[in-house]
Amino acid sequence: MLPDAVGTWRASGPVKLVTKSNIFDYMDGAGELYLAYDFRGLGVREYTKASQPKITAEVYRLGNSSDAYGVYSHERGGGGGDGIGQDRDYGVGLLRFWKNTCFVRIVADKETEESKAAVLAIGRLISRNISGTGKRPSMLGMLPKSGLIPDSVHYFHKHTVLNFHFYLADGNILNLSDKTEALLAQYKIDSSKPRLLIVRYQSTKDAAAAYEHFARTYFTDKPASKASSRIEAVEHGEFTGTRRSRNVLRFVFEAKTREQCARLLQ
Amino acid sequence: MKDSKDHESGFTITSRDLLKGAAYTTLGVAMGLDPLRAIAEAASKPITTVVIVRSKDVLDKDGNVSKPVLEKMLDNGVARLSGKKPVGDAWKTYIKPEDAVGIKMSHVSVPTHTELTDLISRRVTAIGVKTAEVWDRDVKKPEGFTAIINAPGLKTHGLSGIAASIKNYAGCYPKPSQFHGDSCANLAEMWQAPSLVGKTKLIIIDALKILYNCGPQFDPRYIWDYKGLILGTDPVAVDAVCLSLIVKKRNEVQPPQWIISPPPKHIEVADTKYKLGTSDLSKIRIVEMEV
Repeated sequence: MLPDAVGTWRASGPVKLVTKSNIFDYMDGAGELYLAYDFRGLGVREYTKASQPKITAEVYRLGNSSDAYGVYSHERGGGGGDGIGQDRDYGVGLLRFWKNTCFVRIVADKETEESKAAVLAIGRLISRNISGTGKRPSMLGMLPKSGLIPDSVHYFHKHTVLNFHFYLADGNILNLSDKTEALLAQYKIDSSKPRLLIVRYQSTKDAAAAYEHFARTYFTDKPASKASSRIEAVEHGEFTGTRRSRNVLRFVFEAKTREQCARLLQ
Repeated sequence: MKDSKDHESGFTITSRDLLKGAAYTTLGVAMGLDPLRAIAEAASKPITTVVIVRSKDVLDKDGNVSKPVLEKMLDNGVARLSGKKPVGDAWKTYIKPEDAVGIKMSHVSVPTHTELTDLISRRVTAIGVKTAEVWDRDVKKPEGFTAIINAPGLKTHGLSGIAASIKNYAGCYPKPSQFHGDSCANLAEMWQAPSLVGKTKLIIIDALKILYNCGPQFDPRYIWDYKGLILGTDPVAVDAVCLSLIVKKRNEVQPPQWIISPPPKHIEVADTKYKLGTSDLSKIRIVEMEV
């Protein structure tokens, strides 16, 4: 999958294989964020050319295409098309994309005209070498479309990843685990950018327990409520909303009005 | 990683707690609650000093380091921190000629520049130190040192909020992943290891380039040519100042507030639980220099 050469760039050595057992040796604590998905392994290769910065290409294999998309959604900015992956992002010498069950990261130590061309060329080759395509997470259909900021969508399982993008609490107050699926997205509504968090649990009972944990920790100053939906005024004039529906919990944060909450909770 | 317990550090903090809480706590700074105000009011009864030295000429347009400028920055920084001149006397405030010195760099993401570690080595050998070794990994290495200079790069970090001096020993500590839970709250525990305890004499943060978002994975979109060094002897104070710099930058890039997530709880826990130093910006004298 990682080629020996691309144009006049040559691989400087064999493919380095990284597994769950040595991922921390390779990338220190960053490994934790990939282990928060169904990480199966990683192949790494470096490419060099005289008088040019080094390029490092990493191909991550995940257990399913939803998690490959998830890792990409965790890392990405914006952009698409041009035959690299199913979604891809490039900027300042760093290319990221996902395809089927793979997430790929290719970075030049420094962006030059030549290194940029090489990064994209390596990306195209790797993309061609990954056979087939994969489905995006089915949960994406649960996001309201109106006002959605596309590059703000993150798909994940664990609170490690949630906390990377939006600090809710240092503890796991939503009982997230590798058995939950979650989406975090931001919306543009008038001059505000509220956030919508949707979590799908394995059972209604699990969702109920998670909601109770959340309410007990987050709404400590509010009266207890058994309502399936609630909107509460919080700090700085903002509103937080929640809605329970069988095994799915929805939360809205950083809304400026009750109406914004209600709109996203529908 | 096993899922973290809510209360490994003894308390759970929600985003609402931080928005309601005291502006002078480290975590309040992380939420963007006006770090500048805390810094401006810090001088009244300081218990420690942190020196920030910057130079617009230390990096050229291609990001290459000017060694002469870096020398000037480091020499001025150590002199100001120690209150002593000449350079040799300044260094002898922290390092004895008979010390076996380790210089703990970091190689991940925004690595410590070799120009800086080389310079530090030269300065300590100039005062008579016979053994000065730059290292990153190797758990056993610190056993042979009597004095350590903690010299990491500076970055945001998806597990701990930021990574500066407190986190730097993760590279030479057995199974550092044991600290990943609870937003890495208990990182300061590493400093109690027999091979490390009491040996850190000086902290020099390589802030020539700072990663101010994402991390620890390198992301070139968020590299800030700060062109600075940050020096101190209190790792908690140094990290609190580093945090405030990053918060200020982020709030400039995405006003009014671009909150660091997760908040770097480990800085406050290093203060309140492990007594490693002070995280209270109102007790830190911050000296800013331009050379």
